[in-house]
Amino acid sequence: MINAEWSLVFFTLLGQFSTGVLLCAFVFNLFPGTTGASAEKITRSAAKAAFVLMAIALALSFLHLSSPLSAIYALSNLQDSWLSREILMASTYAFLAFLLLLQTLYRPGNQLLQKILLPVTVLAGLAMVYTMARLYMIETVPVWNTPKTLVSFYASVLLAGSAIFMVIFSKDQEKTTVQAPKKPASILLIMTAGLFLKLFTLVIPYRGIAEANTGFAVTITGGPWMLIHWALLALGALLAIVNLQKQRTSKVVSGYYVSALLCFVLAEIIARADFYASFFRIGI
Amino acid sequence: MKWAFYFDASQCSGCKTCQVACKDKHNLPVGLRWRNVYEIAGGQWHRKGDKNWISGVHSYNISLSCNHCEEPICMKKCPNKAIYKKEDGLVLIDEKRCMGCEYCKWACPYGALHLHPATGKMTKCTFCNDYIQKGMLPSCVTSCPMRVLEAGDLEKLKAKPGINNQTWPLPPENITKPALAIQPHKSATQKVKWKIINREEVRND
Amino acid sequence: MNNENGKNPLQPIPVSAAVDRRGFIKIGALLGGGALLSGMLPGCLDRQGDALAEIVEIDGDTLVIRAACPGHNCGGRCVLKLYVNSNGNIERIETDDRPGDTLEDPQLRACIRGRAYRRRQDHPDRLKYPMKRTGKRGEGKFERISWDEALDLLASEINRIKDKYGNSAILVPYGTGSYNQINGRQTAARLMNLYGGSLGYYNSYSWACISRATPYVYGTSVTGNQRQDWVNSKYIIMWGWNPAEMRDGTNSEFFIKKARENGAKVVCIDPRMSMSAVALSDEWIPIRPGTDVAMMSAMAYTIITEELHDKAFIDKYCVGFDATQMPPGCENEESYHDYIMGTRDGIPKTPEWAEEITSVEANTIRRIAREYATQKPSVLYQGYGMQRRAYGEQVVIAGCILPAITGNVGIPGGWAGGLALQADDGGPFWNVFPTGRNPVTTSIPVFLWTEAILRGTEMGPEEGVRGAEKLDNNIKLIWNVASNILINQHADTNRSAKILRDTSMVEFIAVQDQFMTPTAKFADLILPVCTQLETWGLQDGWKYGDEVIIAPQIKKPPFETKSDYQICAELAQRFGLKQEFTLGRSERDWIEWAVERYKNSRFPDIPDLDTLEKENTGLYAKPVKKPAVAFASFREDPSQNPLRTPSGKIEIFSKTLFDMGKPDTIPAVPKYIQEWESPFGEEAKRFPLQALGHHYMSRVHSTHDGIDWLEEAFPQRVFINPIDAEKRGIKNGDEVLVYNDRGKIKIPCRITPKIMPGVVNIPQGAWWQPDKDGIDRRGNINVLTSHKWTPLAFGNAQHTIMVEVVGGA
Ligand SMILES: Nc1nc2c(c(=O)[nH]1)N[C@H]1C(S)=C(S)[C@@H](COP(=O)(O)OP(=O)(O)OC[C@H]3O[C@@H](n4cnc5c(=O)[nH]c(N)nc54)[C@H](O)[C@@H]3O)O[C@H]1N2
Ligand SMILES: Nc1nc2c(c(=O)[nH]1)N[C@H]1C(S)=C(S)[C@@H](COP(=O)(O)OP(=O)(O)OC[C@H]3O[C@@H](n4cnc5c(=O)[nH]c(N)nc54)[C@H](O)[C@@H]3O)O[C@H]1N2
Ligand code: SF4
Ligand code: SF4
Ligand code: SF4
Ligand code: SF4
Ligand code: SF4
Ligand SMILES: [Mo]
Repeated sequence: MINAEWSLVFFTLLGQFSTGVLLCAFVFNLFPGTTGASAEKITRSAAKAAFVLMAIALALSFLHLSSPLSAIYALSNLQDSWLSREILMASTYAFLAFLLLLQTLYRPGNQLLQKILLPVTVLAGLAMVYTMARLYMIETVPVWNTPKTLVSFYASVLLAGSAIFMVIFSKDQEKTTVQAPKKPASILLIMTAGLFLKLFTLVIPYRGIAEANTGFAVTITGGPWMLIHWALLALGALLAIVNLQKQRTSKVVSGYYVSALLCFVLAEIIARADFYASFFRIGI
Repeated sequence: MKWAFYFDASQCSGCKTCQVACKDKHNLPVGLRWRNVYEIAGGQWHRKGDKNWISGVHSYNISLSCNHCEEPICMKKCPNKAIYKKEDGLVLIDEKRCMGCEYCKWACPYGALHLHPATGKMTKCTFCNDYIQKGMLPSCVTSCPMRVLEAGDLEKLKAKPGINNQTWPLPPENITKPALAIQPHKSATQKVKWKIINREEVRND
Repeated sequence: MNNENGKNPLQPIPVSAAVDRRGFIKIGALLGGGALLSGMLPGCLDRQGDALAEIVEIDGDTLVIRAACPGHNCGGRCVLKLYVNSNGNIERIETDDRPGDTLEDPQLRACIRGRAYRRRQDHPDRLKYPMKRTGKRGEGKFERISWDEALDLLASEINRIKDKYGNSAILVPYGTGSYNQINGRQTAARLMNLYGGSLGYYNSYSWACISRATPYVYGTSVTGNQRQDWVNSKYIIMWGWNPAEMRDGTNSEFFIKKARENGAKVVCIDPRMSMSAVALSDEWIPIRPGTDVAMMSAMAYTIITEELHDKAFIDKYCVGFDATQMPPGCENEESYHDYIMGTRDGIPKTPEWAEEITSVEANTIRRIAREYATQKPSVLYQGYGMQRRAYGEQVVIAGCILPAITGNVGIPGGWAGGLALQADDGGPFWNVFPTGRNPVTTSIPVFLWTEAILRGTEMGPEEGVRGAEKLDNNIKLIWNVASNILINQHADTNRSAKILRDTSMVEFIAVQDQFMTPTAKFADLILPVCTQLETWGLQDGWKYGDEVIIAPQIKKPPFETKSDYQICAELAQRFGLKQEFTLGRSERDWIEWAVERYKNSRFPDIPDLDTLEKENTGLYAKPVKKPAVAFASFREDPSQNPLRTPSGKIEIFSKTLFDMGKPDTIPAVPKYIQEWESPFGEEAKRFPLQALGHHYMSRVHSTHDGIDWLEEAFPQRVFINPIDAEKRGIKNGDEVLVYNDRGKIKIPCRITPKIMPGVVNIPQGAWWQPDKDGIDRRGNINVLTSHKWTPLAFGNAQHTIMVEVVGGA
């Protein structure tokens, strides 16, 4: 780990989870599917979760700074620095997520407002994740400077976002309806897409590592931790499938979703920690 | 004119006088070094008979600080515009603007940036800007007992014969265009597996 | 801008003292005012005109003073440019900045230690008060006492020992901490000499064999050309010589660089790929430690059999080369030629023979021999490490003979070898502070002081005692000034500690130092000394040099520290010798006097001290326009200018040595003799690795140990080859145990291919730090070294030891 960048591990992950939850809320609102849930309630819960996640993420990002007071200059270099852009997008997204939360809390009836705010926030979130990924794609850091970074960041969005959303969804359903819960197929599709993206990262090559001086490399992605990470992803997927089976017969199933979520989150933490640990730079 | 360093790796004794001259000039605590001296070695020992050994070992030293690059990647990356380049080529850090995100440090392929443990600000070689302003040369340059470090005009130094900035482990020059002219050690042409063997002494974390 | 404005992370010792010496008085008053300075000084300058500006150089609110680096016994002598701030503290150090920097008159650029001097000067652990032992001796327990109490105690103990045993029971041991005249052991030596004397010693830990053996060949130790002459050489062998790491004259490494620029090829022969091998040489030849004479002999074999020797030179200038040249009375003895050809012992000293011993390939030996003999003029420079070994005399003489048989003696670009003090006059004086004549005329070889404690009265000439058949006394009192010899720097630390712990042997030990060294821990009385920057001083070169560097007092001695001179003066008062000791001179007066000494000897053009101080270049240097060549006049006309050897010629065969009658250990021609601890001996079964303790960049012997910037740059490690490490399952950075029958060290290792397999290196000088099991945790190689001395010089053989290393310790 470069300087034990735990604050960055969690900042990036939480920001991505937050975006993922809202993305799912958006898709859910478009294709509620065969659910009996109240879209309004679920959207509010999603907005709450997204905001809380992003707020923690922002707070953590400050922990990484040794002179946080000077962060007021952080938007100075939008023309060149992806970090500047990320900071802009993260603030924008956090602000929009906050507005969305206010809307779901205080103007729940205002569908028009939500119809504008939700997609805009989601877009901002996706853009934030893009800047996040790009900022790591540094010319001098070959292990990061690959589309892998971009794809795996979006995979985190989809995987964890959908898992969290499913938990919210099933929890809300438990409370609100007496019918057997239905499945939001669109969200499961997102989860599947996330898993595919993860698999896809395996075939994206690194660039220029062979020529680089690996002198200072600490770890290169791989090793036992990454195996555990893949195992956790598989387990999470399995739990999600079991849950779908159970859903046909039983009401109280969210425990499986919670377990799947835990698996995904844990897997992503490992992958992200490994991402930072794999840092090495060409040159010295 | 643009300032640059010239470094004759072929005769650097690795004595680290430059490193300590810099530490003294800028009051740097242990662990913080704006100039580092890398001890590079490669090659094998060959056994002869049952008790004799013949050397196939090669070695040289590289003394390196910030190279005040023509295209400083650190400056490009810094979100706060805390890093700037002066007319005379010096790349400097405006501490008031630095928030200590270390983004510049990740990017610089010369390991030139160092967070100051006490101030939390990113720091690096200033080319002894205050000396330069007074018409003096940098502390490290005038310290070198071997006289293998020079500071001068980029064009002129680069025009010296035999310059090769691709000496291992330096990164490709085109990334940042360092204001640096290295005279390589003769053994640097050897096709051996090079290693930094004093990693402990140059570690930066 | 940058962190110059930030918090200063380094905490200097607060010293309220203002600079108050002559020429500084006006500034001194301002300095007292502290903050006043920045605002007022420029105004003052205007008003007072150039007079003041001449005295001091001002940079903002700091004074700039150029002065000698407190080099201790570092091998160099350099200029520091000190920036002294308004609190009287040194806030920055630059070095010699005289314009020019030419070959004739190069800048005396400081090394890493000089540049880090602030960290020693302002170190929080400096000794501050006199202290008296409270615990057992060596335990390191002390209580603070007053100076009066301390000096009374020392005076009464000296008187007691003097009365009970006599002056010869007192030893002021070898100690090289300071050569700035006012600080250092010479002050104590002067006082003791005025007070009846103390046990004498001769020789040094540095050069015992080389200074003893060189004159057998050349009749003198002044065998070196001035170094600027190296640019006239075509071929230079640095044999066990490492001027890039150890300083052997400021600028020696720079002069070698210049020689290479002038086309010289440089070869380095050393078991370690030293920094000199890396930075100064075209070729590195690793050699098994202690076997150099074998390679030298094989070179001679090649040179002789291929007729590359300079027969005319040998005929005219040498004796003992072959049977035709044997000195009278030795006509039938084994000549050098006989030894090399194996005429008597049946072993021709062929390169193949030498390869087995040295690990240098026969073809390489042949090639080096040819290159050395044909690419003339050539230099074979002998380092001192390989004479700090068993039979260290042999390598010195063998290294003198190769230049002789190739005719490299007495010519520009050549080099006679041996100790090579600088022609014409022997070079620097080091010490001009007059110690006077020692009324005790008995002396011992410096290395044998522990013997003189244990059984001095049994020691006679066969153990090197001079001036008496037997010593009158065992040593009973040690007054240790500027030395860490007692525990740290002498061989076999555990043995020395055991001897010194016994208060019935040495009854009183006083230690005068700046730090609580391992030696100081064995004191009964500790006297805190100021640094050389806190008193007046003056130095000339180390082994080489044509300059005098002054050391104005920069600060007042902090806390209760005093200069060695002042301590001695106050002690002198107690002996009723104040006037005799001081001659009424202040510290500065002595330096003024010393400058005068140089004026009347080496440097007639040197200005007086006032002028030197005003000029503020820190030094007087005499440019070397035409480097002197040793033995030039001998070469010109050997009959008019004979050598001071018995034959007047270069003695390849020494009848004097022959007459000693110890052919096995002191042969008349230089021979390879297997060392007493050797990879070829029985002992190698238990201790298979040879251990060196080279002179490290981060220290001057034990001085500077623990200075943070230096330790950061060059941490104390045991250096070991990957092949040896792998065999023992050792990984880089592991703590390892290095041991033999004499002691144990446990420190981290550094795996490096830059040392021969079978050899490890623990840089000498680390402060002994035994843990509760007696294992040294800092890495003082003397825990492992042997007290055995060399046969002829009675010298220290501290580089000759075998050890074993184990990992997982
Ligand atoms: N930095 C620094 N410089 C110093 C000093 C210091 O403490 N620190 N001390 C000064 C003093 S007082 C002195 S006396 C001199 C000492 O100067 P030297 O005695 O010359 O120094 P060493 O480091 O003991 O040895 C020099 C080289 O000899 C090599 N060597 C050891 N054994 C053998 C051998 O058997 N054969 C060959 N060929 N090489 C061998 C070592 O690896 C080393 O590189 O240095 C002076 N300069
Ligand atoms: N194993 C091994 N041992 C060796 C050697 C080796 O190569 N190998 N080398 C040997 C050689 S060549 C030498 S010269 C000796 C050197 O041995 P020493 O002469 O003992 O030299 P230092 O260890 O430098 O100790 C000098 C002491 O003087 C103190 N000091 C410094 N300045 C002053 C001052 O102004 N006044 C006073 N009173 N004290 C001061 C320092 O703090 C230090 O404790 O070591 C020898 N020991
Ligand atoms: S001072 Fe000069 S010789 Fe010494 S390490 Fe630095 S660049 Fe190399
Ligand atoms: S060396 Fe690194 S820190 Fe210095 S200018 Fe170049 S990129 Fe920036
Ligand atoms: S650490 Fe400071 S200088 Fe470096 S990128 Fe961040 S704000 Fe800029
Ligand atoms: S130029 Fe100045 S700041 Fe830069 S490395 Fe040299 S001494 Fe340090
Ligand atoms: S060589 Fe000696 S005098 Fe010169 S700077 Fe180093 S320690 Fe000081
Ligand atoms: Mo020495």
